[in-house]
Amino acid sequence: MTDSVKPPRKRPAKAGAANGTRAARAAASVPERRESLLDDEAHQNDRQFVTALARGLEILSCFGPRKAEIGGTQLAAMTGLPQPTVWRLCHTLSKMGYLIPAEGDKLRPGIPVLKLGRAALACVPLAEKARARMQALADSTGSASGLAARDGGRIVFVQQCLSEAQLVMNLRVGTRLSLITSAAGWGLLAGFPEAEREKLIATHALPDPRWPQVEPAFREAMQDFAARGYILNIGVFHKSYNTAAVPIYGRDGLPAYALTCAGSSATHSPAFLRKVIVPELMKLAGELQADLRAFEAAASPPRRG
Amino acid sequence: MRSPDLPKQARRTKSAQHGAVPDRQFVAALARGLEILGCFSEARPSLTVTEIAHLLGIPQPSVWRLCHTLIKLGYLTADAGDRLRPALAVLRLGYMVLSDLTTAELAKPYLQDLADRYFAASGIAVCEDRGMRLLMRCEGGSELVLNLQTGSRVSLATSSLGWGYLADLSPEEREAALGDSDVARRSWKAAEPAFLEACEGYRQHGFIINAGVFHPGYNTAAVPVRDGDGRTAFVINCGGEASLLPMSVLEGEVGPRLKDLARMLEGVAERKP
Repeated sequence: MTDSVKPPRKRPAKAGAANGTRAARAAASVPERRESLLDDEAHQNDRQFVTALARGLEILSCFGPRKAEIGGTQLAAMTGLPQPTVWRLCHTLSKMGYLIPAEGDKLRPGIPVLKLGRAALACVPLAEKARARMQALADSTGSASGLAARDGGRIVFVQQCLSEAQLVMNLRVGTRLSLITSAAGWGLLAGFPEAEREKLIATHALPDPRWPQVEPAFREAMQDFAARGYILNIGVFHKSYNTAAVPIYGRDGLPAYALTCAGSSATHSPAFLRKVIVPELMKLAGELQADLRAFEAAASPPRRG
Repeated sequence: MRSPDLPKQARRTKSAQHGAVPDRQFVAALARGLEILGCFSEARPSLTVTEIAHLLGIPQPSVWRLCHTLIKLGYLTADAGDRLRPALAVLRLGYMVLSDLTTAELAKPYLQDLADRYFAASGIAVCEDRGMRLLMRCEGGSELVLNLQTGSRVSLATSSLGWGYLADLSPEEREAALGDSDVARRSWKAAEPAFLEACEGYRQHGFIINAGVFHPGYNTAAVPVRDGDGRTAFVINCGGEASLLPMSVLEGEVGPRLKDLARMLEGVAERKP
């Protein structure tokens, strides 16, 4: 609907002061490095790789629930791309309707991004199929129940059901959490054969500065899983939040999803999780695994011969 | 503020857009990549490169390179049969900014843009208890606008929002929607000829114009927004006082823009009433 986007300003109005505060603000509020797909060296030698497309999508991925509106200068800072490049990409995204103008020369995502996300979620039929039963689990135990899949070193919630009137984490469909600190991540990792799990840890955990602190609890959870078939994440993901999680396996025998059930540590003690939540959680995981097999069989029947 | 910020190239493009010269700031590779992602939907969860090339009319080698890039970035996955599907990484692309919004909240920035651009007032409404209730009302800079707010109710028989709702109904459904109270009957009797005439325009252009029937000297265009089942779920409108919003602008610009917005909302409207 918009005809043009304002280009980012070449320099901030008050260069020195603004830079100082911005840097301070960035240091304070962005402890975690932005996930970026741009700096992968492998792409540089790939002559079939379309850099302009990668950069444009990188711009879109800067927008999130806590950053709904962003200006051009800030987009350049977030992506590390030159401002004229950012301007051209934003101009294109605006013409396509993926970005729309917001207050104060900023941009925000337009309705087409919602359609992209819905199409991606439609490829996870288990999410819709599981909803009513996850909601029932959440309601009957005053919990939050989530279904998550892995995307690289992250887990992504594809379903999230909350019970009413409880202290909940702000987790929603689309929320991305660290594979190595979140309960869903642990639930997934627990289901892998040890060699593959260690490979994932080497890739995603070792570079993470939080890992040395997390590792003892993680190792304990993996032992717990070997003995009992589920993991508990007691205050590791968040200090007053406890979660039980189990993997749901795909046809290839590897964990495709993790099913979680969680609540505040005030209501969801480890004993409550083990006695009340876990039996229900494991029962539901078994049902969802059967559903997943049915979807997989329908999507691509096993080849003959 | 606007023009000093524009780099030289951008200024050239801005004027170029009005002529036949192509938009040199437009990054075609990005646009095509987005078009590829946009091919997938609930109804079309997986596609091959050949199918995408056919759908978009883009040469297959280009589609292949773009898909290769999307796969490497994790936005598409390929199965053993070379069928491509959008992957969960797509949810990174701003999805969560909008995923919790109601349809009215989704429509708001677009409706506000229309209101600002045309010194008009715009809104989105649902049919409720034989009337139209405004879920969201946006006003532009004009001081002369109808005294309506978010939450206001307007008549089904005489308002543009009501007409937008009635436009896609059969005559029987219309009668049923209007009800048989004396007041409704009387106002419908007076408004019906103008409505039927406006419906002709609706069939032709896809938006319905209420010219002075709701309020003298006030013209409004409205478009129904259908849900997944093809039923009218919402109506959006935009109107203004005739001297500020002449009929030519209403028909030539506002109506088509409303129609575009309605189409865009339709894919997402049914989820959250």
